Amino acid sequence: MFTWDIFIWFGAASVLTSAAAAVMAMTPDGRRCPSPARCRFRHNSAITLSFLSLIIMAVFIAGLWLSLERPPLKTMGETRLWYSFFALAAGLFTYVRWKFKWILSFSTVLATVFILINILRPEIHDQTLMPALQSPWFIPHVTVYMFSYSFLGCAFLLALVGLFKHKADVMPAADTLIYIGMAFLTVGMLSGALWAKEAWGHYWNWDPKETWALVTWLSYMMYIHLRLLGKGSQRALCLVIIFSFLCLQMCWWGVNYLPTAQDSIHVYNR
Amino acid sequence: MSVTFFAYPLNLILALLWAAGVVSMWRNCRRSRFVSFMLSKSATVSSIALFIAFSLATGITGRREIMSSWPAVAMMLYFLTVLFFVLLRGWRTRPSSGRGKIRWRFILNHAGLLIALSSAFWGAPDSSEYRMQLNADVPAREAFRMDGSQTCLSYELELKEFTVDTYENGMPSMYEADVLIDGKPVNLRVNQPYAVSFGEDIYLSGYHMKEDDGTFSCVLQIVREPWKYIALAGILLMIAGALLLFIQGPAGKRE
Repeated sequence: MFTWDIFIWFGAASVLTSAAAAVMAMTPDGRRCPSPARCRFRHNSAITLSFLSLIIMAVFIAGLWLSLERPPLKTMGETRLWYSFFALAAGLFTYVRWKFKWILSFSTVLATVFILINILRPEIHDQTLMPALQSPWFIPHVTVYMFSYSFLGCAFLLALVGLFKHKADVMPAADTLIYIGMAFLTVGMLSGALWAKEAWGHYWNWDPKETWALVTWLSYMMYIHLRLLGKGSQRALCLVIIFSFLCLQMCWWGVNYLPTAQDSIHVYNR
Repeated sequence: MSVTFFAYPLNLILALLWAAGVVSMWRNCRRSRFVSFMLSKSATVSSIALFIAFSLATGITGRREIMSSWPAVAMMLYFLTVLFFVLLRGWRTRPSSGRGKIRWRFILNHAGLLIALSSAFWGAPDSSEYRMQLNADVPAREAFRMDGSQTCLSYELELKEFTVDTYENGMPSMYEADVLIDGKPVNLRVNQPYAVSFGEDIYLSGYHMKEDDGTFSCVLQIVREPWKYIALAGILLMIAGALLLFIQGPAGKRE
């Protein structure tokens, strides 16, 4: 039977294979590669190992599903299980699609954090979930946002570098990260709107969290349009990315410290 | 002036006149100063910047009424108009000869946003929200608007049964109400509203327990939003556009 007692083995195996994949992915690419055959081997190993770590998580989720006789989507611990799974899946997809060698390290860290919480704090597995959160929208809405935040976090780090160093490939790399982040930010925001209609009656209610989510979204949209229109110096564009990320922090946790948070309906994520 | 002054059909007429005005200006006076400005980089940047400024003011102060003020209405109309002109110009590529290719990602992202925001903007005067408290076995049709004024519903509601499940710590895990709507039995739960008619939904938003006899009364929220289907269409287009944004990345952009 699959229970949380055996999760430590699956979690550890998944983290180790994913970390090995991340190490394998850290290989010089293109013309800088000393031996193409070796680089290709490392690249393929990274994909195989990454896929294996995903399968390990999937087997545990499927096993838990069967032994619980209900989808494991209810408790916070079960939610984190899916976070880890999606973080690994998204990392693998992005690595295969764009060959960013650092992305596997990033998705490994993200997945490890959630796996570790599930191993170290088992008492939160049965934490109560208020009725409004018990919706099929819960998982995609939150997971998609988390995935988006991770990419936009990378873009923020890149923009900090770009403020002081003028390298030609900073802005194109930032573009890629922001397009991915913005795609998921949009899906996260709109899935939130669809869910809000179902739970609270309106797609949009100008709740503090919703408002800051919109400010964040518009700010990244401003960056994309400035780039498309060829406006703004590298320094100005980096400042837009930094401003957007600060708004994102405001949306994620900063709103809870605003005096207006009292009348927010998003209070459960404090 | 009250927003209800613009309720259907006036809002629909104004929306159609606005849309027809934009399309006819695009067709007939493309070289006019007005259309040139609406299609300029400054218009794109300033419309987004203004939208950010208003949202930021709402986010910092927490005053929702900012977004329903007349300056916000003007900002929104400006944003929508710029967006509409940009959509008309950019929906296909403009090669030096022959017909251009259709730009699906561009269309999904821009038309989706235009449709979703337009439904919220032009549909706002038709939207209304009521609340009512329903006691067991007492038929009622009086509901209250957000400003406290009373209204009479065209149907009658009666609470037949109310159930609350709780966790071990006493937190509610699930609650549901069996309600009769004009004699028809309906089950209401959080996240599961009941569509009573076109654009009108009933939500179970809360409950009270009477301390003396332990019986429940439930709080219902009634939302009239006939434009919600248009908003939904816009949202679905935008989600499709976002997926293309992910799949194609910055390589998918065309100047």
